[in-house]
Amino acid sequence: MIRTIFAAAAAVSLSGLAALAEPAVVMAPGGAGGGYDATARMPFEAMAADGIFTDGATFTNKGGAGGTIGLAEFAGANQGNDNAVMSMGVIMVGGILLNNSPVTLDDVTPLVRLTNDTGVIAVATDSPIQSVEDLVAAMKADLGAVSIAGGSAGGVDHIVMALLAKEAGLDPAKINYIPQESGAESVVAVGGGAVMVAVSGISEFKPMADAGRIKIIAVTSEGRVEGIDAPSLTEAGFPVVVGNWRGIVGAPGMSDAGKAMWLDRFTRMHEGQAWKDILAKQGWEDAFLAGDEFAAFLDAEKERTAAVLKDLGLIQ
Amino acid sequence: MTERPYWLAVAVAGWGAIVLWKAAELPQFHQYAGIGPGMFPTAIGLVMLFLGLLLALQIRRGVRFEEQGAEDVNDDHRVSYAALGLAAAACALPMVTMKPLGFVVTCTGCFVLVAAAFQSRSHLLNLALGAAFSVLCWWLFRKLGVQLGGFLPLAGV
Amino acid sequence: MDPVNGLLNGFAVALQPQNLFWCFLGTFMGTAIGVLPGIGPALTIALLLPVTVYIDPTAAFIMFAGIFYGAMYGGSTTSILLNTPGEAGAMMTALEGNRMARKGRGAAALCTAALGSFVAGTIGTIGLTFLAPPIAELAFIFKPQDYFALMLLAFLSVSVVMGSSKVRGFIALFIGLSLGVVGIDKAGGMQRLTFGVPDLLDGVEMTVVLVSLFAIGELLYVSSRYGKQMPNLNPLAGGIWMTREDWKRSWKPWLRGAAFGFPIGALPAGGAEIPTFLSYTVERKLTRHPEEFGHGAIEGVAGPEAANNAAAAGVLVPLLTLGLPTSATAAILLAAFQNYGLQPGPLLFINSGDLVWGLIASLYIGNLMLLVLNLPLAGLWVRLLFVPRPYLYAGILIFSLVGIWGVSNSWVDLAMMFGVGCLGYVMRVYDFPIAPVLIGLILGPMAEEKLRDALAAGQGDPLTLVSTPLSAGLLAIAFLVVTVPALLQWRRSRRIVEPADAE
Repeated sequence: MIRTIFAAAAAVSLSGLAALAEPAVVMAPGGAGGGYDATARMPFEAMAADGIFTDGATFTNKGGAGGTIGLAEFAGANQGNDNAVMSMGVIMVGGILLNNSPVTLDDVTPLVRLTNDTGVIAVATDSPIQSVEDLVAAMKADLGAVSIAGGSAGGVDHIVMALLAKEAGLDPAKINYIPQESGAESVVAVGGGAVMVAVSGISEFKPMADAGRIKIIAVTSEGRVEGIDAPSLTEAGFPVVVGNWRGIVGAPGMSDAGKAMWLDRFTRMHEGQAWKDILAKQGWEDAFLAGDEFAAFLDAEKERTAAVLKDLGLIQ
Repeated sequence: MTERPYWLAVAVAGWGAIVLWKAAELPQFHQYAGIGPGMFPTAIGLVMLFLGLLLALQIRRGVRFEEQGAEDVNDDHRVSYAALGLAAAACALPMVTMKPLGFVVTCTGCFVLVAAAFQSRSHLLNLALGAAFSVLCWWLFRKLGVQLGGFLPLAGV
Repeated sequence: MDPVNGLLNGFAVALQPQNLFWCFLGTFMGTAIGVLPGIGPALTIALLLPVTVYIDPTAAFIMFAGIFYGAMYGGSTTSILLNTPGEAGAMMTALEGNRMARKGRGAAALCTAALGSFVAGTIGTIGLTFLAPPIAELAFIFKPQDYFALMLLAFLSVSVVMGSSKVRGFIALFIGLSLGVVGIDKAGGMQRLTFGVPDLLDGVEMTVVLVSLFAIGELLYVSSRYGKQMPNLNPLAGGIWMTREDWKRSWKPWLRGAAFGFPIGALPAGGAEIPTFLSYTVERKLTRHPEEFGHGAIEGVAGPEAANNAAAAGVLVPLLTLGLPTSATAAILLAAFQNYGLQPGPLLFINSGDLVWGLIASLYIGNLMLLVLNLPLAGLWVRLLFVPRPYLYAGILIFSLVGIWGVSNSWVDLAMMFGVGCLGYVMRVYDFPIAPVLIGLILGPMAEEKLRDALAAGQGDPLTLVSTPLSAGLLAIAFLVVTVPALLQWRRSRRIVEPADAE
């Protein structure tokens, strides 16, 4: 529901940017106001501000099924179109597997990874669990008794807990994971004691932790995150690094020239001031990774996600 | 009038059977919640089968179906299937034309068909009115940011 | 800043002439777009929010307030006059309101809706001003089992809208429930009843079903039974104003509606639907004119409409105090805050006090403005019914298409519009009640999710469901609601039988 309303809110930026010659064709596989939407629009705002790409863009929002509906439409309509790009992210990697999507990321051209939202694990402030060690000990004592709130089944939050369970020598399929509609519901569930643990993105949990509602016991980045008094899972002895990253892919069958053109634009955008300002305003973590490195990263993510989802029994 | 619309009962029970059949493919239990993804659909399918049966019994006993009142409905209740067909065509039209022909053409068509269903005979006037109204809607809501698609997708606009 | 001073400051900001103008513009546009059939408040706000980007934050938030309440007002108008609610919260208003309109009492229905919205909106805003922090705590207190108990109670309200035949009422309810399970199961990620159609993975879109069942079903039904001669109906037969009797019958439902709407609206999974269902049920049980329900009882308009608007004010509580968006509308407002670099939450009142209090003060002013705007307009809106039928219904279809196609661009939704529209036609011909379909579709998935959440957290122990005082209490009330009337009926029937035996 929220997603569809957002799709309708797609709004003025659309009419404001059109009009010029040869605008880029941009697909946001989620509703306006969501993560995919911002990941699609903001780079073009930055590129326009820095004079890197000023021909404008026509945006289409098409949400649903973890972004796979937008992906299918994008791939179907833009075969070989050097002028077409789409925002995507780790949720889509899982969404494709979970929804059995006929169109996959193998069909499109990986360009860049732009941003990342580190995951956090949080508990109630008065919880008996106050550290990763406590959490793992509690899970080992009675796995079912540790109820965990987070995003949709098979999503990044679920993957964090599955990998942690696996590192602790437990069966990921047996964790008591309870998916919630939104980060807001996860926060109140853990803050009010309806569940013992909650997992979400840093941007969603940090304000509530700062207000003393919940306590963050770990972050899922490689090292510590500034402003959060909690170790990374790796530091606590469980090498689990998961991020809710987002990036851009190009149309299926994009020519090498087209690929080089977009990589150049994004690289210059990343160096420019406008993009830095946008990162700060949106509270995004810079996670720029371009070209072949991104393609290799994407392949690794696909493989890891498929393995975790299999462990969880969500796919065959 | 002793109409016996058994097909209603068959439709209800049939849909219940479909729900039940699809639910049977799902796990009924969950390791912690007890209730699995399939349990609700299974229960719904079973109850609908039962309700279909009850409805069939009621129909057999000759239960009366009073049509609901609505505004603009005449008391003499003469059903015009021609008008119903036209109105249904208007509602079905978007499925055929919305993608290839676009919002404006589709809505103009719908306008004319609905007007005809309501026994308006001045088709040309309706066509003009419908086109004007559709263009206005398309322009206004696009300005507001609703994704209504191109003006004439066939012409590439 | 304490509430009183804050509010006074807020009024000082909001009463500046240019801000009054923005407030007026917001209320006017909110009402105008919200009044279109098929386009409800959430969509209206989504459509109009970008407009506010061009003005400075204070003016923008004042305009939000106007749009926010204006859209809620507008939603009731088409529900009452044309039986085409644009969102689920307005559905219960349509039930009695449209019957009133058909009896020529449309203007009175619009008046009681407008006044009820004003009263409840003001109560809700007062609640927001003075009780926001403690009410926001409810979010943390409510556990899944409490939600489940609340939803179960709301489910029982279905029985009162089931019409003459219980079997047909249950069939309608279960059609809704079966549509509700379509899509990816939230708890386990498995596809249910999607038949391999990707567009169905996210479930059946509630607004599509609502618009199709009401607006499209009505269109098909009326067209097939429409005579050349206009039915003998004068929309103004009942006058354009509420009678003394109407006032007497309306004020209590307004207050009760507000009492349901505000706290439930403030809950993360509460929303506007549950309080409207509960309010309708309660009014139907408490009324002195039970025979009028189903034929245009004014209490049935006053209560749900008040509940709907109080819930809208309630939604702002967790948004402003905790930064939690708890409904589609709130999510859009949150995005708007973020556009200005503001993060709603505990610090918002401290960091941007002027702005927040200006917004709250505007809610009072906007509410009053809407009343002034809408009461005289009620007589005017009713004249909408003088539009020639061919054009009125053609217009309804086109607006429905804007709402359905414009939101999703999905062919499946267009097919659904046709299919569900035909279902709506059949249901009208064979006298199946319409509302239970929507109640099943809305409450079914919510109740299932909360039930499974509660059981999973309790590891399958059914006693979890009564483990909090609230859940136990609500379930006990639900139990009594079912058993007491049945017992009374049984006793009454015995009392009638006994004297007969004695003779």
